[in-house]
Amino acid sequence: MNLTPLLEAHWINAILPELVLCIGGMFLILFDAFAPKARSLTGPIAVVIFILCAWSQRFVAVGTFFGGTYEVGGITRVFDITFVLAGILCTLLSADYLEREGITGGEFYALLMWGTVGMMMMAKGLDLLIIILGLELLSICIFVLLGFQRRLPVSNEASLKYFLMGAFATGFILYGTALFYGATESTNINVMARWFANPDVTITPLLTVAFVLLMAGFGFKLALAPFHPWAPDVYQGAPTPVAGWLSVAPKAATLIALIRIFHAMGPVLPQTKWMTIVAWLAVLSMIIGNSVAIAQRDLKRMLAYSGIAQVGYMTIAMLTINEDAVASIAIYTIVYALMNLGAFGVISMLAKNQNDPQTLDDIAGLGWRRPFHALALAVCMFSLSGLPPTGGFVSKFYIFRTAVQSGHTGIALIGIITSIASVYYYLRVVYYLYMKESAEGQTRIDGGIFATGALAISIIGIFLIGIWPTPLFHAASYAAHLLLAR
Amino acid sequence: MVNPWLLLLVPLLPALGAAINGFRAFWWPKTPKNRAITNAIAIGSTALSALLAAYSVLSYVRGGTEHAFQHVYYSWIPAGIGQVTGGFISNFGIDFAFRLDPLSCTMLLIVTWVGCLIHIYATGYMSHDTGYTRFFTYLNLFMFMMLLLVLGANYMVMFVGWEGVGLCSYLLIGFYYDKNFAAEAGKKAFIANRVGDFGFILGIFLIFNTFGTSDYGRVFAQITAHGHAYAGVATAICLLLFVGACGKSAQIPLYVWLPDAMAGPTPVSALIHAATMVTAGVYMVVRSNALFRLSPTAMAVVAIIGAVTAIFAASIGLVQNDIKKVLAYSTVSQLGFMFLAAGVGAFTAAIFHVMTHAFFKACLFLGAGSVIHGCGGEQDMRKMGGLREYMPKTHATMLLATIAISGIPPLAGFFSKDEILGNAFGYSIPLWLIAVVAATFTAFYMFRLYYMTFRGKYRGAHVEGIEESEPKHAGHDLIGSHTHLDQGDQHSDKGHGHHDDVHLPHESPASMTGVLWILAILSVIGGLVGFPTGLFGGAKETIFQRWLEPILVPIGDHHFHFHEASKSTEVVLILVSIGVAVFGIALARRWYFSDPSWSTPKRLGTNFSFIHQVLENKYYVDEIYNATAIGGTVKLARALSWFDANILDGLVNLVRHITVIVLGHGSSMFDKYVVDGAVNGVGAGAREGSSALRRMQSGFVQNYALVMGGGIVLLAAVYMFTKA
Repeated sequence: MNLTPLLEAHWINAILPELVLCIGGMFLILFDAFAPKARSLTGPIAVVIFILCAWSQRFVAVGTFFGGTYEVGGITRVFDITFVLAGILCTLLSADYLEREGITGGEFYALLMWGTVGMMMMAKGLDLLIIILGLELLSICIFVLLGFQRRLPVSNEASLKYFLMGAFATGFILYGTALFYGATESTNINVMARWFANPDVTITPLLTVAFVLLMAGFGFKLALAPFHPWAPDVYQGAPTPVAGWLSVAPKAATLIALIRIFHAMGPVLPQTKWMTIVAWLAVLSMIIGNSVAIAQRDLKRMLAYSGIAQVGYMTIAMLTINEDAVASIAIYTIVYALMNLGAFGVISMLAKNQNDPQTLDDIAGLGWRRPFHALALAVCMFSLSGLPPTGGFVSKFYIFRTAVQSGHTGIALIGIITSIASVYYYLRVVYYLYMKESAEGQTRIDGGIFATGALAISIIGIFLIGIWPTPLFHAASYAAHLLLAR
Repeated sequence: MVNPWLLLLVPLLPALGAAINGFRAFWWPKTPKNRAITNAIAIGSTALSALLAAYSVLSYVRGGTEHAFQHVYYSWIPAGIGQVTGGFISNFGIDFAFRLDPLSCTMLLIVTWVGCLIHIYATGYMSHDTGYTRFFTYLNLFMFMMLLLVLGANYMVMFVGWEGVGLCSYLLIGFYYDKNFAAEAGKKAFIANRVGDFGFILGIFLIFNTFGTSDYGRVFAQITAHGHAYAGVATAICLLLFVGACGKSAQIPLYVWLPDAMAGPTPVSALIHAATMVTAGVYMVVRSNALFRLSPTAMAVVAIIGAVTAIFAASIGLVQNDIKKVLAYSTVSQLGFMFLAAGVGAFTAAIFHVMTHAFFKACLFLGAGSVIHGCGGEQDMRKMGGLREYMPKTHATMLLATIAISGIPPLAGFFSKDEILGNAFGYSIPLWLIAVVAATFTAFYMFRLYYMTFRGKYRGAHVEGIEESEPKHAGHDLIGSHTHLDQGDQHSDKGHGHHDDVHLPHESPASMTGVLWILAILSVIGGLVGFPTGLFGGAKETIFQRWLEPILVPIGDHHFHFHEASKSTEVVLILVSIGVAVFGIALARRWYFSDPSWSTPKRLGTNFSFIHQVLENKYYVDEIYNATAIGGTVKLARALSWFDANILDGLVNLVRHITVIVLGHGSSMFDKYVVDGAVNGVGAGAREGSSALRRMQSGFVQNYALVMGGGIVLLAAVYMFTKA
């Protein structure tokens, strides 16, 4: 029996960001309850708490904690930053949105924070059970956030749909985990890695079933085709900032969890066809996402399909786990958070009933009415389509380069071709922004100072990463190096 | 030595101008803007950039042109860290670097100086447009991107500029976006260029994959070092790159967007769609000459496509009546000449023609703009005529440019076209024949344009006697007529001798005619750098060839040789090209000037109505594309969308029917207890929507579960049917 103390020294420092968010969320609920008159302050306070969380990263202790179930390292810091960034952007966008929609309640931000804690757990969990725990914490928060507009049928529908399907997916993941446990006698990823590294290990069909179940479950969370059908409906019904957040942050968390799992499986992957399965998921996602998005006129549905394609690109890099792959995924998720939340942000400002679809016609001629918001949306579209000199180009280039260097030239080619095709529907948005007369009874844009700030962060971040990505590259590569050096 | 930071300012200044004017144009769209400030920013930035460009080129030339000047500003995308898989692969990074060599110097000077002139011209042309500041924002942004394109030291920086100029092009084509056809034209340009970019980016990808770098210097050094080891892959690379060039430079089969691009304001047609952006494809092919020379197949494709485009577009130009359409097809045709030159190995002749074409075609387009401006927005040449009296300066400059493009010595077009024809003759006689016929067409339709516009009697809107036989696209051709009609009226205040009832043409302001004169003079003397000194006992190579020689890197130990023909052949070829030009001019004069009723062309039009119809309708290419490629793509996307939304339903419904039989009411029980139960838990407010809940947007929740189940089956199938 290994008698490692359950609580290592500095354990508080290890989970400091999580603690900040947990306590901050509780504080917000209490603040909301006891100071109902100061409700308008909950948004700004939430931002401050997120910033505090980012700042607390300075004191984070690096290492393995809680009996080898929780690992804090460079890469988790990079992903923590992604989560916090997504949280901040979503909070800023929500502050005005909630007010306009007549929703009150500090619990909105609290849920956002706790969901972020769940994602951090997924990123740091060194044990499949911790990852699932984080995933469930995250999912519960998402259910509530999706249905936050209680009076709107679409919002309820989105919530319920995600809930039912999410439960289904979690079932798959749990079942897969159980099967892996049966084979490797542990749910700890390090122990599993040692088991997989054993040269005598044989891959039984049962293990393959376990892998397929795991991929189905995680594929759902990632909205990878063919596990994607929920995404368009859910995004369409969800409060728009939440949809943006949902399309970004949970995917990042799932990806880093998968990176850990794939890395542990590394030694046996060459003798299995597991990565072929993943490759097919990526190819399907890119093709279905990009082609169906062309036919969408509803902006949120279009972004949903675009998100399916985007996650397909990221999956390409996972086919071979090496330093560049991990770093490129880390960078892609950051850029994706900036550009996708920016795009959803502008849509969230369309002063239109949540129940009604927000279509291309609503943004026609926006370039003349609200130049800044139109510019933000245009920049996000350029970045999503991967045009230089935006962050989207740099990150996509990095992904495809990694894939080519790992020998996945064919899949990288499919990625490049589909992404060129995708430019059509992304730039159609720009076409509507600048080359269409706004229709009669044009949709207003309601953007307060917070939302505008969020858009500014998006634009600056996209161009900064697009023009000078070197620091981010080095940080991510170094973190990836540390993760894989074990 | 070249100062790299001054060189950096060359593109940055227009970018700054675009930023400032963009801020002014978009943030306060309602407030009247001070045009003088807009002018100062737009023209000031481009003029300063042109001066800096000239200074940089001078200091580069002073240091000797044997070696390219290259400066890495910073590492844009660093190479990955653990990627030393051997040799050069570790160089997979991208530098943000500029390169000055004779080729980029030439393009740099053309772009900055012609660009600057057109900026000045546009201040006059656009003076009454409401989108004045917005226009200059786009124009400056275009300059920035174009300069990135020509200055970049690797394919990736070129790609940035390539996409950027494309974007500005769409924005400017759709500038009069309130006109439906302008927005449509922008969309068309966008789609054609997407197809081209497909090829271009795949070509770059293949270059990366083959050479491990996209830096010109390194790629060419490897070709020099390893010679023909790359011959196989070079064909693929070159063909892909050439697809990109076809999109950007409007070659068959992707040329369709350029004639429609005339929907943009005329200065844009001159700058982007004649002088600079559309020549980017030629620049790229010449830039990659080392790759192309490795692949005779690719060279042949380039030459054939170029020659066919040249004659195809020229033949359409013979019957067009819209003054800008004639020039547009002429541009497509001239671009074909450039590709023909590159394809037959006369890379310097291609760039030479880019240069002379920039002079005379910019002059022609700007002259056409002046004519349109003066005629109150009229673009139909049948309603012009006799403008020589009303617009003497425009007439004189356009006449010079027309002679230049027709290929009459010693004007610029003659030397470049003759060099191309001579090289084509050495390569293949059929291609030379095609080119000669195309040159005849060119002389004919250009002088047809001249006689219809400037000679004879004015047949303007208020003059009787012209039948309204405009083809059905007439509405599309009256580009921005609305805007210009307003302008015309306001112009009359300036006192050009207008009467209120009869709208007579008037000469354009000095800012426009001055620019026309500069370009006309360049059209006259610009060709002398390509003077065939060899014929007169001088050096075998022309000045221009010697200037560009350093970019023609050796392949292995195989050095580039300029085409050499015997003196007698060359003299005969020159006589032929002068002869066909004179013939074309004479024919145009006879049909459109000596006989004011134009009876011969009309008779030909009726006698050969089929050919006339086909030409007038541009070989029905648009219709064919609409019916096949575009319609097909739209249908495919719709079908896929329908598939995603409905087929799952259909499939699932089928399964459900079976399930209902098998499981009885299991499904409805699920709805009743699980779904409704959950709804009740959600809250009272939800009850209103519970009916919506059960029937989801595109199906039942169970369906999604089923899809997921199906997905797992699919994964299993993938597992079973694929190899590890």
